[in-house]
Amino acid sequence: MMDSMIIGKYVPGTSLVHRLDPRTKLITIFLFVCIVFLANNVQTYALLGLFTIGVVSLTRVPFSFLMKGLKPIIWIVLFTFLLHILMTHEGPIIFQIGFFKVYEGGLVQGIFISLRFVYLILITTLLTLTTTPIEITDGMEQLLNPLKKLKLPVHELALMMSISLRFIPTLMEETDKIMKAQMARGVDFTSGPVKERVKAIVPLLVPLFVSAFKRAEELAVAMEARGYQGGEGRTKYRKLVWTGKDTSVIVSLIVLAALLFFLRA
Amino acid sequence: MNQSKQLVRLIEIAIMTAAAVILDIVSGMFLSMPQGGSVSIMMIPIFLISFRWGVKAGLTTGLLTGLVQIAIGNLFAQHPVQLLLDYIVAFAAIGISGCFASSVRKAAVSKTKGKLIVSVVSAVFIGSLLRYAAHVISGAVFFGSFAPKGTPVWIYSLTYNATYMVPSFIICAIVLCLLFMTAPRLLKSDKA
Repeated sequence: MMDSMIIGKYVPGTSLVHRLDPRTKLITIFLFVCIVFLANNVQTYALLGLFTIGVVSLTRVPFSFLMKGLKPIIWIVLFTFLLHILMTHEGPIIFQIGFFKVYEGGLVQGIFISLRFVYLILITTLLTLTTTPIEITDGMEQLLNPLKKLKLPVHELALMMSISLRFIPTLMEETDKIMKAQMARGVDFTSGPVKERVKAIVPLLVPLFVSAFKRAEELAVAMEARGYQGGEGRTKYRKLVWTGKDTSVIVSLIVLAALLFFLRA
Repeated sequence: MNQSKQLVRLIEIAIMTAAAVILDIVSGMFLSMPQGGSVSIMMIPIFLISFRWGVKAGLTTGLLTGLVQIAIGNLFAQHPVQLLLDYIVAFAAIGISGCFASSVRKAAVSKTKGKLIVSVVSAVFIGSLLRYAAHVISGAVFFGSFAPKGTPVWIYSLTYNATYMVPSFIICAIVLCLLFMTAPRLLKSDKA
């Protein structure tokens, strides 16, 4: 039953976006989420649309993968669209069915807000489609490095994050095994009264946690045996390289922000 | 705390983060609610760590859970403030429940059922309440930036977030009580 679930959404590739430094991609996402709110008229939304389409086509990720990312939010998009049509009473009435009046202001606002939704989802989905979780971890570690001065244990956090990512498939397999073992004994996880299902969680969690803590101890021993002594002086196997591509992406984002600022109403 | 114990703590936090992420996925399968939202038991590993190691470890586990969710692509970014609140603050807030760690541990060791239930429930309540608060604020920001002007965003956010946080709180509290009654050894962290 777990086979159908894929953890992480990474699609391997060699496109420009795949080869960008994860730091660039994280900064881009953050800036993009901020500057999307600058758009408020046709020109600015069109500009953002061009940018999004440009980035999407650069990644060469199959369209179906993108649609998978959009599927869960399609209802929210429709809901906000309808909400705007029904609630915003500005401008002339476009058409009317009985009590139901559609104003121009509402329609325009509904389209804008839905577009904003779709842009944001597409850009954030692209991050995880083109970047492995471990690259994202490395990127976050580097970006948070300045916080070391505030005594935030950035290195330890990044180490924990990589260990955690490494153990997700292992624990997933284990959960699957335990669930099957309990089902063979007649436990029903998927149907029956809620009370019974809640009770069924306990015999799933006990072995899962006990073995997880055992693994933790074993891993600690293994790390110590190999001389792990904390972050100081530890070298890296994967090194992040900042190239001209990355600088130009950041610059183009700043240009986009400036254009939006001048074009907005 | 010696080096080895600190390392064990660090790795336990990491592995429980993985468990939280998995339980989040698995819980959707067998505890889905009629209205479509899913009650999540993902808070359980975070509570467990904060009972074993205290507030700081709990906060770290929560923070990491949020970061790992971002890294594996369970990302839903709509607003910078919403991103920060939903993925960083909300999960980390669960770790505050660690202030009940010593009373939970004491009650589990002395096998006093009543005390155990009271301290676990209050710890889970504090953790869930703070997480709920973070989601409510982020929801208001989110609805505020997408819903038309004049919509009662706070009421939307309060009710929407309550639909899954209240059942999550109840289920987490029940499961954790049952868990510590059947396996109190899960609370012992001082063997390393």
